[in-house]
Amino acid sequence: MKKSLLIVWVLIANTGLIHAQTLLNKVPANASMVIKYAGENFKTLMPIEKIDNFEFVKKNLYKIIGADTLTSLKNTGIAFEKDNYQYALATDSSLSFITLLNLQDAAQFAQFVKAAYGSKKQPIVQDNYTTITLSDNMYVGWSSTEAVIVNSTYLKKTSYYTHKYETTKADTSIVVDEKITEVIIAPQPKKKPTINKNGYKVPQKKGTKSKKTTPAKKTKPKPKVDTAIVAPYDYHVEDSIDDIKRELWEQQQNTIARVQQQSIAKGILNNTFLNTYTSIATAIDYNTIIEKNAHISLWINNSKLTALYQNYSFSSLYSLKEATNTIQKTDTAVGYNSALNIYFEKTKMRMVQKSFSRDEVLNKLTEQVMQSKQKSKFINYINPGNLGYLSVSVNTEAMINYYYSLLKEYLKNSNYVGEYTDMVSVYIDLLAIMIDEKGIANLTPGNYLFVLHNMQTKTVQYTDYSYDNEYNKKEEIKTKKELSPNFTYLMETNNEKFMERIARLPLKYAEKNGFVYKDRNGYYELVIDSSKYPISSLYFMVKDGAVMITTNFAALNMHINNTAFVVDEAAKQNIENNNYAMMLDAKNIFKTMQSQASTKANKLTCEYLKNNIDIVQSNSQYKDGMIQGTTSMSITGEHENSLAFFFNMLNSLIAIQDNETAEELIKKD
Amino acid sequence: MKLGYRCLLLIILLGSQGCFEVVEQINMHLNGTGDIVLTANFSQSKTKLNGIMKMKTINGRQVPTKQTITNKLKEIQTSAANTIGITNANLSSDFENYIFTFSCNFSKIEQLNTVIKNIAESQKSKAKISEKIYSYQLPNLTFNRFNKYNVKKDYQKMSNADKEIFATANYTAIYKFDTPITSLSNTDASLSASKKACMLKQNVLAVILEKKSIENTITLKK
Repeated sequence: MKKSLLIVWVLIANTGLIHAQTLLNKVPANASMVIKYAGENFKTLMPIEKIDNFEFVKKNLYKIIGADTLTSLKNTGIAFEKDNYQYALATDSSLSFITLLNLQDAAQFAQFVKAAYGSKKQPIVQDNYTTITLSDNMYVGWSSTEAVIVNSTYLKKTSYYTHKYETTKADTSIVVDEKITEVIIAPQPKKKPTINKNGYKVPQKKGTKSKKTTPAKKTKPKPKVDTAIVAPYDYHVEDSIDDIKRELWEQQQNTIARVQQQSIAKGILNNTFLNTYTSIATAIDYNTIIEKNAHISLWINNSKLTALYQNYSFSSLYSLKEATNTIQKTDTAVGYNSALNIYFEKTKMRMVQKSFSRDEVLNKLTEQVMQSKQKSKFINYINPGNLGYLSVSVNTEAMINYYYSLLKEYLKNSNYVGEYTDMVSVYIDLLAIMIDEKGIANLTPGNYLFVLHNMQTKTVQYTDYSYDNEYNKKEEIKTKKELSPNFTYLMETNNEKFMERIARLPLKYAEKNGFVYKDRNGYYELVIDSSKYPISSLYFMVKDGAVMITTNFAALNMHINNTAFVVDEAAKQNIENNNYAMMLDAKNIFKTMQSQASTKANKLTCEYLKNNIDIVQSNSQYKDGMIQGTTSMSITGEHENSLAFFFNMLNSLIAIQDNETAEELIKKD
Repeated sequence: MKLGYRCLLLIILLGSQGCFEVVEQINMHLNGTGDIVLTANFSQSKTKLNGIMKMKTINGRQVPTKQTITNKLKEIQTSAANTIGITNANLSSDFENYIFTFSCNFSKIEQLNTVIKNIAESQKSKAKISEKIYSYQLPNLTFNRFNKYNVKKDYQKMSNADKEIFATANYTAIYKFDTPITSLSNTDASLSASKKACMLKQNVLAVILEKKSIENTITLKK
């Protein structure tokens, strides 16, 4: 996977466009994810020769793909000037990552593969294409005009421990798959350990016979014996046997996986070269949200990826097989498909996100959720020079109704529960009857704002030791500077009375529970021990339809007196015109972090990022029947464009890490 | 799981994104008896630790509660107290400053080796425990501190966020004797004014990466 990912790294420096749609025709409609590298659009950004000149490309990328440093990307036979693709394909037993490349010179590509992966790998010539196995899970095939790299992972491996604990038979023999003809060589059982009188294993030196092993020092029997010393013998022997069984089991599972992966890859290569796939090229789900002018486009089927992620997160890798069951049941027409279209512009990198569904009901629900506008008063609390903010404005009532539909859809597509769809639907409707959506929406209509005003430094004490000339230890209290975040969080409410009751509640329990919470006549203060935590006070206030939680006394006073910071026009536009709006002053955040970095490399990394990244801004709204958003990262420093910045940044950061490693080696010598 | 790796994980959880210091102090008498005080001081990171203790996980690992830490430390204390020759085993926890101290008396320093082994056994570690960490040869009055644990590979497998924890961590060893020291094998160690004590201060990362050593052979005047 790593290799194929990195091979395609280099594709982002393409020039020219010919047969733009050719390879897209070979991407199957049931792909979970598709990445497009638009050759034509890269044309003016960076010539391919320039990529060769980056030190990290030669040192790292070439090494990973197995190329020598004299190789030029131009001589790989790959047509970087055309549109190339990658896609992910999940089946009931595998997860595959496929790279589709246009070739300008097939013979050169074959030579590149041979040089990179050795002449021992023998290519197999088919009717109109050639294939070669690069490793247990990596396969490549090429015709005269295109190449396909398949990285396939078999998902139905069974964990030894699952097998062990699920097997009720006393017999622990391993059943070998009939398809597998390869002989598995079992590791030699470990020698029985020599045990000394204390019950400990006597360590054996390599190459020495156990007879010659010197027993541990004799010790007289002691009246006080720890239970741990008594009998580790059986435990260690059993452990060794279990280790051998586990190793055998894993060898067998790996062999099964290798055979299966080979079969899956062969199928993908055949389907690609024989054009038997139903392509995603004409799918409305794909074409509606992919922008032609983007340099890189990422398309994902949210349902499939979410199912895969959930199953991966909540279970071990071995249990990924369960994920595919859910994947098989998901219907692309129902859920959302999303796209990320990336543009490398002169002074900023811009990403346009689009989410689209063909389901009218889902679209209607989404539109209702997004029918909301941020409370204009909230913008008053964004101070000039702030480090960042996040504004969210959604319709809470519509959001709850959306969740009912989402929950129904999710459960309908789940294993086991899916069989009881009608019953589940009734339960969810009953839940909807019991939940008072209007009440919740009244309490919190859906407008929220978080502002990071700045990061201040504060002095904290800590205990250290000093030593006299006889090395007697003496405790000393020292001080140091630490960062303290200064922030404000605002939430709209139409039920001030209830929120006020919540805010007052800790007053009654503060003394009993050992914390300081004071009514300050209009607001509440939670006093925090600043020697223990980065902040010293947290203020709570409910006023004018807003709940405020802040560390900033100025913002609190503004809320009391109905005053405002000088309004930042850019922030105002960003927030008022969007449902979600976010801004990060990356330059100043890196500047602040630099003071806290503990190593030289980290300090230099912060320094570089501070000097080259400016503002990161993001927003999204509902427009033209879909959710649309833009994220941009402004760059500073001397770069031809944001793609050049991207390469320069990687080059510089890798150099910083390498320098630190080199310095460490020099110190060692 | 290796004992060394477990130790690294514990340190990561306690020292996440901050500095810490480990101080090992041994008072060694001529007849082989003595006492040890082992201090782990995370107080430089206490504000961060207070925040981390409120979280459930950090860097993908579960954050232990104060109760869990206290229970583990009690297990260690009990395990040490039950070891032959060990007396006055005591463990103190200061969760205000995140300073943890273990102390005990021993009749022979080799009993400390057994303490470590017993602790590893009681924590169900499958690691091969080094037989020797300390030794004292009475006839030639030689004290040895060994370090057989190799955690370099485990360290290299860690994420950068975890690795950073060790960058500013320090280890200090102080060994005190009844008679003057005549020689020290570790050139980074220094002698006290009376020559009856020596101190070795090393960066933990340098020790993990095997650039610096905490091993020492100390010979005393007969």
